Amino acid sequence: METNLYSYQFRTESDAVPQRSAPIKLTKLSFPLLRVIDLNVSIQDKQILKDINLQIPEKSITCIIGPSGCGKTTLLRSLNRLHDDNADINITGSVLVDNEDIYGKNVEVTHIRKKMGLLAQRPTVLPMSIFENVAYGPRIHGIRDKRKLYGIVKNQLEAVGLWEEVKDRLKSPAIRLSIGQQQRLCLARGLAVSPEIILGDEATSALDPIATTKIEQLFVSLKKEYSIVLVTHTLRQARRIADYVAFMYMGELIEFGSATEIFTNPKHQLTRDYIGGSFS
Amino acid sequence: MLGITVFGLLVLLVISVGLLYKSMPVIKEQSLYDLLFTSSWKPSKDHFGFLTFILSTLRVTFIAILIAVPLSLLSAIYLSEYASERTKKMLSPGIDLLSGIPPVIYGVWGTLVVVPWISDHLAPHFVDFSTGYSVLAGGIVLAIMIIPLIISIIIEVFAAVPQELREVSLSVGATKWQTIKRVLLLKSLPGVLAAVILAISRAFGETIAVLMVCGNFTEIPKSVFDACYPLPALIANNYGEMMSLPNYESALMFAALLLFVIIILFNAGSRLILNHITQRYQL
Ligand SMILES: Nc1ncnc2c1ncn2[C@@H]1O[C@H](COP(=O)(O)OP(=O)(O)OP(=O)(O)O)[C@@H](O)[C@H]1O
Ligand SMILES: [Mg+2]
Repeated sequence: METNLYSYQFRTESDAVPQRSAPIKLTKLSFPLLRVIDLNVSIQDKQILKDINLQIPEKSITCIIGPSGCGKTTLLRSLNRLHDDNADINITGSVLVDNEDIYGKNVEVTHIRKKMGLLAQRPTVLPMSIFENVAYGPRIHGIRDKRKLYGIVKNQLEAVGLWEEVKDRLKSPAIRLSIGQQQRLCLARGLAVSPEIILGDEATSALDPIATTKIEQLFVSLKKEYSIVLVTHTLRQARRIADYVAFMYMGELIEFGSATEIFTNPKHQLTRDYIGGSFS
Repeated sequence: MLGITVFGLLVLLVISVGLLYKSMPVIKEQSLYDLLFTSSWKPSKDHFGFLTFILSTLRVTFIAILIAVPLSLLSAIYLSEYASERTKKMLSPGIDLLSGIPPVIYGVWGTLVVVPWISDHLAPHFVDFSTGYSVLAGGIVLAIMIIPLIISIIIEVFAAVPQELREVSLSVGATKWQTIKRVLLLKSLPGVLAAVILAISRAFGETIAVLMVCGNFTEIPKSVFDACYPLPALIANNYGEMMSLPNYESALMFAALLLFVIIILFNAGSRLILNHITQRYQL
């Protein structure tokens, strides 16, 4: 394992992630939280992702961009094994989380998923009260104590700026919240199991501009503590909040780099065209 | 659409009015209390007490539901959440087929298999003697008959629960079984209840299969191993016979009216509960 990673590191530094102006700090023995190695995903024998190699920098926002159908969602879902239930999907390669290959043999999946908060495209609240939505994860992981749960719920609702708005109606059904509030609630629910990574798939596409801004600001403040990976549908959003950008095209990772680089001086012609708006 | 609905309701009204009209003689002869809460059944003496039949109907149905609901729920969970596509494709037609088998076949199977099994193997552990023709036999046969119905409705209900909801639960690190217990079943509660309600209504009215295995004995059953006599069996067995007896036809009409009222009250009641639950939890 050790030697393996070692050699991989060499390769990364030389080609997949070339050193640039704002380089990912990679020393030979530093293990990024999340890294994808030679990931291939095929659905019903149709290859969707081809040889993806990617390292997600810690405590920053990485946006995955690319035209519709290029495999962004598929990649994101591969990161916490949400494809598990689909027998049509075949996955090879590895995804290392905290240096553990989540696609390794006999790897237990729940502790991996616990490390990642997932934010879906449309806010999906559980059919329960606001309180129970946030308490759901902690309860699953065995926390029973009322005061402890209350503490967690309060903290997380504060973290997403929802506490003041809902503190008087914690018991009312979550579905009665506005869409924007629901999405923040979903974020709080994900954070309540103390993950290290936040995954978001077009998490603001169902929201109005004001709610979108709120969520974006949240991401920016949350990156102090979490590593955030966002699939985004708008280049503008990536420009606003991304620290790093991964550009995908037809199932391949074309280019990865700091946001400044990708937006001002992309290496690859395809990236340049996409950023320039020649296609979308 | 409106026309058809109104027509349907009219038919319902006509049936109930007709039944009420036909049962008036026996209602006038005896008090309603007497009819509903006494159990002596003496057509020749012009006395009709329906308690045995009412209790038999309720008990057979209760046992059927007790057996059918857990089994159907577990099967539906397996088929919808665990089984591979291939298994589903193999088993689903089987379930549809089961719901298409005529009741009389279930009745025959009950007499040949369930009744002897109860009298020879099960009952001796609990009571001195049982012919096997019993409340339990009726309940078991009825359960087997309604299981396919409940399974196929619940599978539909589960399919209507958005995949995203399951993923929300999985993504905070819940296991599949936790997700099923805490999210899928909660979200499906109204649908599952609706399936059970439908099954109970069906069970109340099921006649021939139950009639063949429950013994048709006009005495209140003391245990599940005793024979019983549900309302539909009473009507089916006797209608057209002994019509020379005064008020006998009227009494059978009253039996039909009772069945009708039980089913309508039951449906109305359970709809209310269902609405309440849906509202309360915003499912
Ligand atoms: N369950 C599936 N079965 C078959 N093909 C699928 C399935 N899921 C995704 N695909 C295919 O995989 C490819 C990548 O899909 P994916 O959803 O990852 O794209 P995306 O980049 O997220 O697109 P968008 O921006 O539109 O969300 C598409 O060609 C899609 O048709
Ligand atoms: Mg997508």
